[in-house]
Formats: sequence, structure tokens, C-alpha cells
Amino acid sequence: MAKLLEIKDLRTYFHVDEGTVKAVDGVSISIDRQQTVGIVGESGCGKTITAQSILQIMPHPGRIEGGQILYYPDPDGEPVDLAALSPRGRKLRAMRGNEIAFIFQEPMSALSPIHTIGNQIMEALMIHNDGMSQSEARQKALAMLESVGMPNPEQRIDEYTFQLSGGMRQRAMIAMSLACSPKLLIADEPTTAIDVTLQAQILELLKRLKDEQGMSVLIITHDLAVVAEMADEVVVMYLGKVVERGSVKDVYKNPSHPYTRALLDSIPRVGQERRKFLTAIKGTVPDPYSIPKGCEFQPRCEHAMEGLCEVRKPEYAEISPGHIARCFLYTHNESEVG
Amino acid sequence: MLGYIARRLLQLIPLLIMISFLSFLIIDLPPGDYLSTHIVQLQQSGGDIAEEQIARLKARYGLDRPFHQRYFLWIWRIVSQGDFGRSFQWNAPVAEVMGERLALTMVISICTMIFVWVVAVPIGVFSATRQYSVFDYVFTFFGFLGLAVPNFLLALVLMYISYAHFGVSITGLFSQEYVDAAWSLGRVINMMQRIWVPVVVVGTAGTAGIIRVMRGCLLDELRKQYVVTARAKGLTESRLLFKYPVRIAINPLISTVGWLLPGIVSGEAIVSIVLNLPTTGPILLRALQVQDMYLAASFVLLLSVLTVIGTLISDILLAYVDPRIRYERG
Ligand SMILES: Nc1ncnc2c1ncn2[C@@H]1O[C@H](COP(=O)(O)OP(=O)(O)OP(=O)(O)O)[C@@H](O)[C@H]1O
Ligand SMILES: [Mg+2]
Repeated sequence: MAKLLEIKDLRTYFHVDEGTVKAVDGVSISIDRQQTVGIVGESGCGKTITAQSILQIMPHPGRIEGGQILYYPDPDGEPVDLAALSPRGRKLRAMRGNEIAFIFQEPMSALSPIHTIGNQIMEALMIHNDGMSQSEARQKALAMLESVGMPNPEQRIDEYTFQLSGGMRQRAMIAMSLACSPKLLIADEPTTAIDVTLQAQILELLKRLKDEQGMSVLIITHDLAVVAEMADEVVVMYLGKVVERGSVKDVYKNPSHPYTRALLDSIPRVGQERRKFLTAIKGTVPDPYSIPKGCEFQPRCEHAMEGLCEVRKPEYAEISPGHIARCFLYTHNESEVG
Repeated sequence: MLGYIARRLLQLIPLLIMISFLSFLIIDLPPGDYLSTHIVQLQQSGGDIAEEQIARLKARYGLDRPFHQRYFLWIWRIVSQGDFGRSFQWNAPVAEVMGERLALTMVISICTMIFVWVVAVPIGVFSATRQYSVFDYVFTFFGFLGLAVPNFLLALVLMYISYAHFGVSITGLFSQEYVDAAWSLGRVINMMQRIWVPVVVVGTAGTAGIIRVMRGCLLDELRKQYVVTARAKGLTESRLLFKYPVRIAINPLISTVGWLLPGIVSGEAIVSIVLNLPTTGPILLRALQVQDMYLAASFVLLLSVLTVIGTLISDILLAYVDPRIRYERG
């Protein structure tokens, strides 16, 4: 299928007083048209910064220090390198919300508390449609609210976030993001902040809208079940790096990186007490200023090989076509055998 | 919204009664009064006052009655006739003594407020959006300087500079020919030419304070998620800044409008003395010193009432700009 977005060796660093945080360190992800890609990983592994780097909306002082973000506006046309555009420039602004749109985790804090949702949706429309009148924008905003299943949109459009329930807020957020019919929707933990019964509804809604609008989705989550349900491809991140990537089927059937295996093991099963994902893996994430010299996962890894994993950085190994893992278990064995 | 305003106005009534009572009580509390001091002075200077003359004076000022009667009489006359009593020291009705001074004080206060906001808000916004830049450091430095330097010192320095370098004496609000003149266009212009001195002097500390508040609030807001959302929509940085974080960061400032007034009035007293301004500060001070009780009580009452009204105005403004408050208090 035709490519929509190709992130190549992306590096986004934060230079702060304590040192450099390599929040995203050589990440490559590719998204095809109408495909859904999921990014999973523990808190702080760089999922959000990777996604925000695409539109360069990451917090100060984050900067893209290397790599390319190739966006293909037409299936056959030339790509644009979004990483090379100025973060304040007109070209990147024209992309934001129009070609690539975001939905955020906490709709309460992600929407302005002092503007009505109608105002915020209409603004999204009017930024990218020169000469659209107020009343046209309002009609369109109402239609959007309707399509995301907002109950009683005529009334809700003039309400503020604090007057809406959690589910309604997330629907308003989705309506706002999709107002300009983007080709790529980036959903950063869209269901983490809402309660379980609503999660399924919101995921259903996202799936339906994706099919209706023919867009691609990049979904970020802690929850492997969400990825299994939504995504075609999955990217597993650890400390700013991709440790495993492949189709959801391949990765779930044959998890190859020890970190991925640990993640999958930590999913609660029926009859088992629900365990927190974080506590299931021994040890904690190293702090970003003292990254291990060798493999980043080595200190917590059950399969760490002495004299190898703590000294050198692993390379990517191909497990099966389109399924790769960054671990010495695979490159090491090969060199021993062959 | 209208219901909210009506309710707030109703709440004002008991508050105002309390304030008037306390104003009168505080002024009445210290032992002695103007009249006894006055009589002692007269006797010392050799004058012999007849008992009945003293009694007549006492009756005239109501000093022969008990406290509660004096209070109710005072309030009754204010409410029914706008009569605030007589000033001993000026031997004139309090309203006459206060009238123009109170108006001029308010003019200076309002000008100062406008000056403070016009200067402080843009600087605060600029400092926050360029945190740790040279600009930010320079204004942080001047801000602290402004907070630390006493107003009267600043007034003296300004007076000196003006006199030494330009040969202009900038004391008073009016030049010689307008001091006692009736209000006219010329007098207003004359005042406007001089009013900037007290406005700048009284305003510096306020400006410095508001720069800090604005900068701090805006820095908080800039870190919020809705800013990223707005950016992700494709808004330009400047439209984004003023539509979202600045609009929200300014709300705490709006709630300070109410207490800006008393702050300026008290900060202004000493400056007015230095600059020789015909405002309320100096005579309030004098009235308190000589226990000119009706004058002092009326001043305290009016300043408190102005503060209460100021607070009401800022609450209404706040409810108007912030839907969260509007709906919460409905
Ligand atoms: N403003 C900042 N200054 C310095 N470092 C930052 C800043 N924002 C993020 N980081 C660093 O970037 C790294 C990745 O953060 P990111 O928000 O992408 O994590 P995440 O995977 O999205 O986690 P979560 O699941 O908690 O959302 C973290 O280690 C964090 O310390
Ligand atoms: Mg995140």
C-alpha cells in the first residue's frame, strides 16, 4: 500500500541544565495510507515526544536534532520533509490540524476551559478554510459533533468543557481534530483518562471514523489490548528507541524482544488479579541522564548475556519479513552458528 | 449573571452596615477627643472658657450623647441628607472638606491603575514568553527595584531631577493660577500635565508587582495542555498566545482590581505629602492625629466602601470573563 508517513532515524533531544535527554533517539516508523499503527511502551519511553515531533509541537526546549519525517501528500507525488520545516513557519502550520491532527489524553486539560467547544471546533475549521463564514463553520461544527455521536449537539455546541462528561469531552476533542478531514490522526492515549465502559465506545468511534474518512491512525497507548484491537502494525519503544516492530499478528504471536515479552506477560488474564503494567517488569526505567552503555534494557533483562549486552549496542535483527527486534539474542546466535 | 449581580448587591448591605459601625468605633475608641484637647489648649493660652460655652460646643458636635446615639445620628444624617457631620479642625462640614480631594484621589487612582496595567501586562507577557532572555532579566531587575524603592524616595528623586534639570517644580496637582480656580477645561489640562508624576511614583511598585504576577501566571498557563492543542490546530503563535493563555492568566489580575484602590490610597498618602498633592491621604493622616473624629470616620468609611465596590466590580468582571466562575456561582 502507498506510504503516507515515513519517519527515518528521528532524534529529538532536550538540552536541559542536568544534561541532554534523548527522548527520541533514532526512531523509524512508517505508516501506510489507511493503516493504523500503534506505539506502546512504558511511561517516559518517548511515545508522546515521537508523535509530537511529527508536527514539531513538543515542549520547549525539545528539538529535532536528526532524521527525516517524510510526508506524502499525494500517493505518487514527492514527499515533504516535515523535520526540515521551521516549527513556527507557515508550511508546517498549514499541515497542523489540516493534514495531520492530534487528539490528546486528557480532553479536560487539552481543551480551553474558557471557550465553548463550538468556538474551538469552529476555530479549527476557520484556520484552514479561508473565507469560511461564522455560520458555515457553525453548521460544519454541528455536523461534526453529530458524526462523533455527541448527544444533543445543538445545545452542547455552546457549552464549556466543565459542563460535559468525560466521554462527551473526548467526543468534542475528536470532532475538533477531524473537522478538517486530516489524512493522519495521531491519538495520544485517547482512552486512558476515561472510564472503562466508555473506552470501548471511543475506540469503536475511532475505528468507524477512520473507515469513513479513509485516514491513517497513529495510536499511542500503554494498553496492549487497545493495540491488538485497533492496529495493523505495532511499534514497541523503550527509552527513546524502537525495540521491536512488526504486524500486530507477528508481534503478538512471536514476541521477540525480551521487553515485548515482559509487556505481554504483564497483561492480566481472566481469573488473575489485575496487575499494574509497570510493576510486572523487574527494575525501573533508568533515568534519562545515565543511559546504560550497552543495551538500554540490559539491566532489567532476564536474558542478558554477560560481556555482550552491557558493552555494545544491539542492532536490529529481522525475525520474519517486516518483523524486527533490536536484540543480541538474534544477531548473536546467528554469528555463533554461521 | 443578573441574578448573581443582584445577590452580590444584597450581600453588600450587611457588609456596609458592619463597615460603618467599625469605622465609627475605631475612631471613637482612643481616649480623649478633639474638643477636650482644644479646650485644654485654649485654657493654657490664657483664655477662660465658660462652662456653658463648653457645653454648647459639646452639644453642637453631639459629644454629650452616648456612643450608640452618636453613631445612629451620624449614619442617619449621612443616609438622609448626605451630611457626614462637621470637621472640628476645619470648622466646616466634612463633605465640603472631602469633596474635591476624594474626587482627585480617585482620578489619580484610576489613572495609576490604567498606567500600571498598560505597562505591566505587556511586559509580563513578553517576559514569560521569553523566559530567561536578556529582556526577562532586565525587567526582573527593574521590577524588584521598583518594589524595593520606597515611593516617597522616588517622588523626591523625580522632584529633584525635574527641578535641577528642567527648572520645573512639579509639586501639587495644579500650577499657581489654577489652585483655587473653579473647574474649567484649562484646569483639567493643567492637572493632566502634572498628574503623571504621582501616577508614575505610586504606580511603580504596583507595576513591578503585576509584572511578576502576570509573568508567573502566564508561565503556568503556557505549560498547559490546551496550548499544545491550539498549536496542533495550526494557529499562529501570537493568535494562540492572546486567545488562550493570556486570556486565562489575566483572570487573577482582574480579581486584584478591588484591592488596588485601597493600596493606592494608602501608598499615596506619604507621596501626596511629599509632592504636596490635594488628595485624601494627607488630611486623613492629619485628622487621625488630632482626633477630628467625624472627618476621620467619614474617610475610613468612604475608602472602605470604595474598596467593597471595587471588589464587587472585579468579581463581576471576573464572572464575565471566566465562564467557570459564572456557572459555579450562577
Ligand atoms: N519539557 C521537557 N524537558 C525535558 N525532558 C522532557 C520534557 N518533556 C519530556 N521530556 C523527556 O522526554 C522523555 C519522553 O517523554 P514522553 O512524554 O514522550 O513519554 P511517554 O512515552 O509519552 O510517556 P507517558 O506514557 O507517561 O505519556 C521523558 O524521559 C521525559 O523526561
Ligand atoms: Mg505520553
